[in-house]
Amino acid sequence: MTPEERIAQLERERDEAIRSSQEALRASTRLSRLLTVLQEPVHVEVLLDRVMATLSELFLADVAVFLLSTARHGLEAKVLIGLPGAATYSPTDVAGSLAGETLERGTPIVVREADRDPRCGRAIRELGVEHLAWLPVHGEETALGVIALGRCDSAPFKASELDILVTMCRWIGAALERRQHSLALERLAGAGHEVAAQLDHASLLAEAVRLAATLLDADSAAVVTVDGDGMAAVEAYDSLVPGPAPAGAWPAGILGEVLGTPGLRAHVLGGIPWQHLGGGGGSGTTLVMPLSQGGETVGALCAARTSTLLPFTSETMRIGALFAAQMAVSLSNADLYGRLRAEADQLRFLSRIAEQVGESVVVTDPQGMVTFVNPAHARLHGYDADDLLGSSLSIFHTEEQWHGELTPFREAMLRTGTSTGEIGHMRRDGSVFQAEMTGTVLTDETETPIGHVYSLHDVTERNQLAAQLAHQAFHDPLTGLVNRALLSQRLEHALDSIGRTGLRVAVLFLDLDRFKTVNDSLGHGAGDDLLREVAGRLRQVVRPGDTVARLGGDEFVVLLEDMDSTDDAQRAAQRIAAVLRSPFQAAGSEVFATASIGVAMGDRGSEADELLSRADAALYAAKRGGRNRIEVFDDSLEPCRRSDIALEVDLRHAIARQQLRVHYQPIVEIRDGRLRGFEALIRWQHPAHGLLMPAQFLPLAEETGLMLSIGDWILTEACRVAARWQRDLVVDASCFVSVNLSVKQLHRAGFVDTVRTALTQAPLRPDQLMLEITEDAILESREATLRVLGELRRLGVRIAIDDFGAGYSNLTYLTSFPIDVMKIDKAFVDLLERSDGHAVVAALVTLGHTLQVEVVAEGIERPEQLELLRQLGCDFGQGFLLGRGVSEDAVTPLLAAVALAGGVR
Amino acid sequence: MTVQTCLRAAVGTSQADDGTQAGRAAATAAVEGLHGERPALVIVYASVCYELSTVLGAVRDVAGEVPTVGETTCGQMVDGSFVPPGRGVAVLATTAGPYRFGTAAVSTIGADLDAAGVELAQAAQRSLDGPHLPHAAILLLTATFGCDHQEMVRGLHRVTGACVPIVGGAAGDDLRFREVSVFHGDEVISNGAVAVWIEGERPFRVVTRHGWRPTGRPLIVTGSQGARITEIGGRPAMAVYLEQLGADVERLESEPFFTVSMSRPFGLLQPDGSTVIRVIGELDGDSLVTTGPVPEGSAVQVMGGSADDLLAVVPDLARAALEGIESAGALLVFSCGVRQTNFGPQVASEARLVQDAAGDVVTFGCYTYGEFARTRGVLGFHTASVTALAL
Repeated sequence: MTPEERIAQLERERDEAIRSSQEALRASTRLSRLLTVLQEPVHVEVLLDRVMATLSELFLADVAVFLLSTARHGLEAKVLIGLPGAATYSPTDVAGSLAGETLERGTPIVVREADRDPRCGRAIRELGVEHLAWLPVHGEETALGVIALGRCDSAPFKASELDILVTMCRWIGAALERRQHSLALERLAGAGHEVAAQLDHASLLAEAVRLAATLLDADSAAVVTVDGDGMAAVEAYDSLVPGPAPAGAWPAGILGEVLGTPGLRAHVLGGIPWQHLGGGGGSGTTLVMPLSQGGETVGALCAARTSTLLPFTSETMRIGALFAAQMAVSLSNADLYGRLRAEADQLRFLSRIAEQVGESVVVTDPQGMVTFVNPAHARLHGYDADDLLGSSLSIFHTEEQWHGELTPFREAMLRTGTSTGEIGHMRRDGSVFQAEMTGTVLTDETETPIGHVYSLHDVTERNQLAAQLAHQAFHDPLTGLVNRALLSQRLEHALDSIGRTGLRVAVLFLDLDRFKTVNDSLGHGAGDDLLREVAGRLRQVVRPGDTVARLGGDEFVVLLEDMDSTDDAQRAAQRIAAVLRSPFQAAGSEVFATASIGVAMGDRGSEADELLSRADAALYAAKRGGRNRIEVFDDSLEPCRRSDIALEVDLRHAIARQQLRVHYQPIVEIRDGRLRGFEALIRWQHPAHGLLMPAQFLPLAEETGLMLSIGDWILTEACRVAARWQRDLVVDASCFVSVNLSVKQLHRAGFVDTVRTALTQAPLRPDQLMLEITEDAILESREATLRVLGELRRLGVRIAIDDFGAGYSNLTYLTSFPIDVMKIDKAFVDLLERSDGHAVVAALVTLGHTLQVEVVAEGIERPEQLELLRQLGCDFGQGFLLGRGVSEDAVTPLLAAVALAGGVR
Repeated sequence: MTVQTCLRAAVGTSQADDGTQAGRAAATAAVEGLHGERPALVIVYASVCYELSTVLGAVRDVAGEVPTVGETTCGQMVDGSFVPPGRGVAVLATTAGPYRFGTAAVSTIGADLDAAGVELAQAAQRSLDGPHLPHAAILLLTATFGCDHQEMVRGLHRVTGACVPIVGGAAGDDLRFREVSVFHGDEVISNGAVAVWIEGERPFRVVTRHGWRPTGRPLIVTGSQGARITEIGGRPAMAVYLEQLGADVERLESEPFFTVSMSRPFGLLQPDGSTVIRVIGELDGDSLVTTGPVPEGSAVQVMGGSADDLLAVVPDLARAALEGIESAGALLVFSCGVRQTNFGPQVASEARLVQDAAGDVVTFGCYTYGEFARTRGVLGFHTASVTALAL
């Protein structure tokens, strides 16, 4: 070998070595390139695209295709590099028969002249692919897909290339399986969230089967339960293939056995357990995943594959078992939520009641920390409800209340479970009020105390009203002075006390000399002003322990205790006279009003009535003596008292001599001003003294027993006249006449018969008669009164309680007695324009309406009063403003006019 | 429809200072060169020194409402003459001949160049009415900086499939590296791309050559993201590259890095033994930023070549492009600006060599920032190369 030949040989060997090393480098480069791509953390679809692009580049392939095996759709074209995008190819157009064949064989298939090979798909043939290699891509258990690389030129795939490709396909399979696994876990996590978001049992099952079908690549999924009799039924079902949902039950058989296997997490059954319901035979496979709640198998999540023979891999079973476990937890949550929601609904319902009732409600934990307050409670105490949660109950009380009255209250509640009482409360601003409160220990279903419930309402107003009514019973509403009833009590008490002290009692009876003139000239308002002013001065001039009373009209009595002598009393009377001598301001005018004073001294053994009577006699003597005088009773005054006896004689003849008259005062419906009836009022046309008012003779009539006959006469007369109106004037049938009854009348035997007779004789319908009784009548003989009123009610007569508020005003008898109408005393109406008086009348009207009693306001004298009463919803009114009491003759034209205008309605 | 068997093309150039004048003169020469035949496609190359819309307006005024595409360049080669970067407009007017042309453009390209490629290819294909001819190619001109052009080729390829080659170039700006543009109709588009869908009765052949020779041993890229090479053979990429430069390392003491790296690109080894060139545009720490993607796991070699080496491939390129095409009317050439830089004193030679090899065929080319030549597989973006398509 020449040196030249040797050099040439060496060069050839060098070139061959270079070529070989380049070939080796290319091979290793191919692998490293692919490995790099396979490690990229991208989505499956992107991964496959990059893998195939890389393969296309590394193997100079004009076509690079990846067909993915799916459980439901068979082969799906995922990457089609080199095929024109505008063309529409089905997977078969690409795969031909070779893809399936490759998968079956599990080894590569290489085709030459692919464009002419009928086994190749249309897409491959049309593209003019010369050399084609199909390679299977396997996972650990199943085929994942198939790869095709095609070259349009004449370079065939070399054996070495195919070897590398087979290796690569293994790597691709592993990477794909990892990625699918990650994806499945991601989907599992997502599905878990979606299922967990369902809080309703049925919705959860529906969502779970829908997700399970997708997650497990199944054609359908179901939740199946097996009952104690071994019967299986589908509780929820979803299918990705059309067809009816399975219904009914069937013997669980092998499914029951699977579910009974302890510790089983997922199991593959041959066949579809619910398909024989439709007679379909159930070909396919089912993945059964037991659902456990509380350690007990309550059913199974089943996923069925019918359209593919692709088996459930162990990975799929693992995913399914995880999903079933998640689902079971969610199911437990949903069931719990369902129970809680029901409880919450109930709680909300109760809470709404608590919020909407007027009663104030507060709930605390056992330590007294507030866990709930309703708006009424917060409002009552001046707080926002939200501010109170977590506060101590003690913020509603002063320290004194908390440690005082509340302590026994709470002790009683804890001891007996409940406690009721009137407890002082404190508002946020520190003001206090009384509340009637009931406390109850709140327990759970095991009777374990879980807190305390307090319900309460403010009784301040009620107490005030009661106090006001009580005050009213013993005080003159106009002046606030003690009234006759309390005066009598105190006088009796004072006389009783004489024995212990040895000192005497003086009664000073006084009236204003010019009161009637003031009333007539300046009006009742001025008269009232004068009376109040007099009262004020009397209070100023007496000692703190002395009693100043107003008996009515302009009559005042001063009771002085601990008097040494008549002189003491006289000096006191002089002081009074002096203090009254100064001019008064009444209705803007300066008024002079002197007083006449009668003084009587009481000793041990004196009678209160007698002492008053003597003082009255002394007063009478003072007045007769020329007014503005002070007269002390002595025996010489006795004859004055005797004049009463003469009057009594006259009264006894008054009926027979037809001197008594009945006047009728209109009762009007306040709402529309319509005339609704009349109150019958007695008058005495005295031959010597002129027309006498009831106050001038009725006390005498009561005292002498003449009241019974006078009362009967009024009753008969009023019925007769009312009947005549009904008959002659065609007034509305609802027009009534109201007659006052005395206590004695009411309690006389046969009174009801008297009423019946009066009605019959008139004749008058019973409902057209109303009888007015006073509170005294009720109090005097409660049982008897109740009985008589019951009979009268049965007769059809209506009953009114007269002068309500003037006496004891016990609210209870309004409910227990058959009362139809409540008449509010004039004294209250007089005070309507004052805030306290207004509140009393408002309360009385509300009370009447609450008890379904009609309310009549008496003594309405001013339009302002009428308007206020209208605003308060008072039903009826009477008084000078609406009409004075007039004779029968004067009433007749009035009624006739009303009747002509359409009747009294 | 009468299908001409031969495409008639004519070119014109102007280096007038005024854009309107330059556009009008180049267009007039091109259109008149058709001797009255109506052009079916006009291609405009222009230096970025002009007000581009003025240039385009002037061309359109002369050529009329003809499908018009084009781009900014780093110099042009027209009928054997080299128009250096800095000033110049070149216009090709061509009749349809046996071909059909459809044009489309995409603008405001975002990060997803793949999707932009799909959109562009579909739009270009759709712009051709009537029955399609059996073969097609795409002429792609792009105006994007710092983007992965290969991704756009990938998008086009999804639409075209394996049998439609892609040719073209990325617009240049006279090596200023500031702003590039493409033209479509009356529009000047920066950050966009324009494509001509070309159909014909015969297969199209896109030819690419580079002339670079390996100067170092093959290396495995062990760390890269897109066009950034971080590691080669498990070591910092820059260190390995500098080692491979050999004596040229000393040039770095007196010359900018890019000047040196332009003459020593990477060759990306292909499975068939060929190389695809990637120029290193800049250094970023220890990383090398190339003008095209270098996938991790690839084998690369540092290349080198004289002007003669690079020019030696040109005649073969032209001949290969024209081979088998009877009565070719035009040869479209896209050469890299990097090549032009490496030609040195022989900078005008490439235009002449192309024309010499093309004979009577009208030659029309430009210098670019990257060349598109997809014939096999997906890969279709090259740098420091020259590519051609004969019509």
